[in-house]
Amino acid sequence: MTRRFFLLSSLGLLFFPQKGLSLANEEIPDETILRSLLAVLIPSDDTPGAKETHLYEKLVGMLSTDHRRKEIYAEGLFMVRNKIGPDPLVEIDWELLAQSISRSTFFRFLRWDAMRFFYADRASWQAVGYEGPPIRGYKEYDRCGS
Amino acid sequence: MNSSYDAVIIGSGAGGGTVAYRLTRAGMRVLLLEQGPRFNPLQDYPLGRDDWERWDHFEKENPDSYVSAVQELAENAVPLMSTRFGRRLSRTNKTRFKYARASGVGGSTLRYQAETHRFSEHAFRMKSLFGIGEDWPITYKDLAPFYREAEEILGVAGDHDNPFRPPQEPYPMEAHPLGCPSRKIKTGAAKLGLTLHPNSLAIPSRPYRGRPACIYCRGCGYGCVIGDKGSVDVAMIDPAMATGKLTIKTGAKALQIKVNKEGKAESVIWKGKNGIEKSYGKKIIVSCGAIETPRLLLNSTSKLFPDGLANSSGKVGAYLMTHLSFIDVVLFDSPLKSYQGLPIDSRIWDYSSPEMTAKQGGGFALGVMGAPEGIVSPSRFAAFLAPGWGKSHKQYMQQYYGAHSAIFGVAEHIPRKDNRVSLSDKKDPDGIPKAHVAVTMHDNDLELLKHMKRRCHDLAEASGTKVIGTFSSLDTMGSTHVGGTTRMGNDPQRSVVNKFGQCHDVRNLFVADNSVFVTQGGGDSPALTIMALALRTADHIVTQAKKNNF
Repeated sequence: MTRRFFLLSSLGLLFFPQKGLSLANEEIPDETILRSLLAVLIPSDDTPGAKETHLYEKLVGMLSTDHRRKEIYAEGLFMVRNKIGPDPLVEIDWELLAQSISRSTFFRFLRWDAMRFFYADRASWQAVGYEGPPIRGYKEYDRCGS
Repeated sequence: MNSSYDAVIIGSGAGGGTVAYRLTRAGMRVLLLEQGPRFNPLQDYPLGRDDWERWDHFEKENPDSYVSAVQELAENAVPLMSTRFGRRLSRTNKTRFKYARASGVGGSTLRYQAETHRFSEHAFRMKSLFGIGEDWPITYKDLAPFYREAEEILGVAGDHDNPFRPPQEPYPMEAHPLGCPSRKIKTGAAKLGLTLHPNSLAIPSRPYRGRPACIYCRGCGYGCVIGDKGSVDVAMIDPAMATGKLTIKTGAKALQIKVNKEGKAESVIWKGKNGIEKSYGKKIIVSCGAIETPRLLLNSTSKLFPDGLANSSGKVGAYLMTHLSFIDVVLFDSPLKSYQGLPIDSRIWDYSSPEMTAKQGGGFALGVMGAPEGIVSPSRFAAFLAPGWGKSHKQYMQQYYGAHSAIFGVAEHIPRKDNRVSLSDKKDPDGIPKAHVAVTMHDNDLELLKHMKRRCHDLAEASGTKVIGTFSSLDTMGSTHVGGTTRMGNDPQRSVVNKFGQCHDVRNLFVADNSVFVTQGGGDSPALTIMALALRTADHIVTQAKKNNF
């Protein structure tokens, strides 16, 4: 098993667009690409970000059961590699790269998934003042302050 | 296996569940057929999950049951389409009606916002007062006692001191305190000379008839976990079950109503877990909603009724009404706990009479939704409403999550003969023709949408909010509020049922749901009117049955 094959398999991303096509910058693992883009989408600062909430692992878990998403992600990773180019030593500006693919279907899905997973994680709630899911009720809903 | 009952009711929502309540308490043996499941709120509703808003457990739109005609919109309709940050959501100028409802014991009341409105007195006389639509064969006064009874069964809390609503005695409970967004918007409304009133809601503020008090979780539209909301499963079905007279079959899909040689409705053929079954009823009540009720009648053909059951007038399926709606998604400067409280805690009724909307005809009501349905949790807000990503997105979330709210308008949809349900040539997995739903937006409808858009924008501005998105029923909102497809009337040539919901053509066949509506009210939610009419229909059935000694 080649390294690339292993990585795609472990992500559940092995899919036909890669086969027989240009393997631009194949040295960069899928995991690195996804983790880097997630860190751009939800950076860590004085509040938790993608890293602390294990968004990458959550994405991989979702892709193992969602085949339609898996195709979109596979196509997106292929597109990202083409953007990066063949030079394995080039320093990648992930912010810029995210901007350049921001209108793609892949990025829209990645953004959507990142946001919904991140803000469904309790670690994100304190910063936005969310008191938690509805089931416990909000009996002070009408105390509005000044 | 065949079985026989005093009454067989098809559908357990606001109409069918209410009829079951009344008939069983009068001592009749009733079979209730429900296509969906009986939900167990604590197990089935996901409101305790961290990702609770991700799940659509009610199967709101069932593509197996209907197909919808596509309408190409004229250029003047485009400004009324939905937007986000000023950009259109839809990429085409085509639109089609989407029917959103819940399937399960309790029907769409499982996900209703518990708005319980009486129709105005003028809503029953639109033709004679305003030349719009048709008059009902009953007046507000005929229905008032049944409205009152429904309010008592449900445990409605509201503010009866409202000059824009029909005069009535106090509700069973006082209105709930307004949430923070409504308090702000009330001030904006006052600047425009409008009056914001607490909404009347089937949500008890104290323990009521075995149900607990509301915990203000804002979850009504996702299923009430603790069972305080007056949905039909808890307010009607549970008391009906307690009589020992009610049998419920869930997962039971009605395929056809059979008639005997004399033209009386005799039995219902339905498909359940054990295959095809047939149940006999002395009375048969159809309560499947204004799309499925005409579909079932039109599919129930026989030698005596070659054009569909109870359809000698040709009016089964005609005069379909939906509700027109326009929503401004707005942001306040700072969080206002908009994801807490009650989903729709206030309404503005100033425009609910056609006199107030001038040439547009029909009326509409404005309202405040707190966090908009579907964008309540931080995960949905972050994904759908907060722009961009990265640091600025995080800052936006911290500043504005809970500051989002919705100002909306709901308008009367004028009944038209060409807006109708017919049978499609496409069939469902059981080989039954689907409903073909044709709803075309006419100039009058567009004028009403335009009018509502202006009023929503004015109110948003007067309330000091910023509009960041719009949802228009033209292209994005599925409507649960449908009606009119077996309208009631005194003339058998121009209506399907009489003033008691009894079919003109088949005297032991009744319709008890929004299909019997003649008009839709000026922005009123329909549930309470469906229930009041159903209580009236059920009383008529009991009276008839007693004459015949059941």
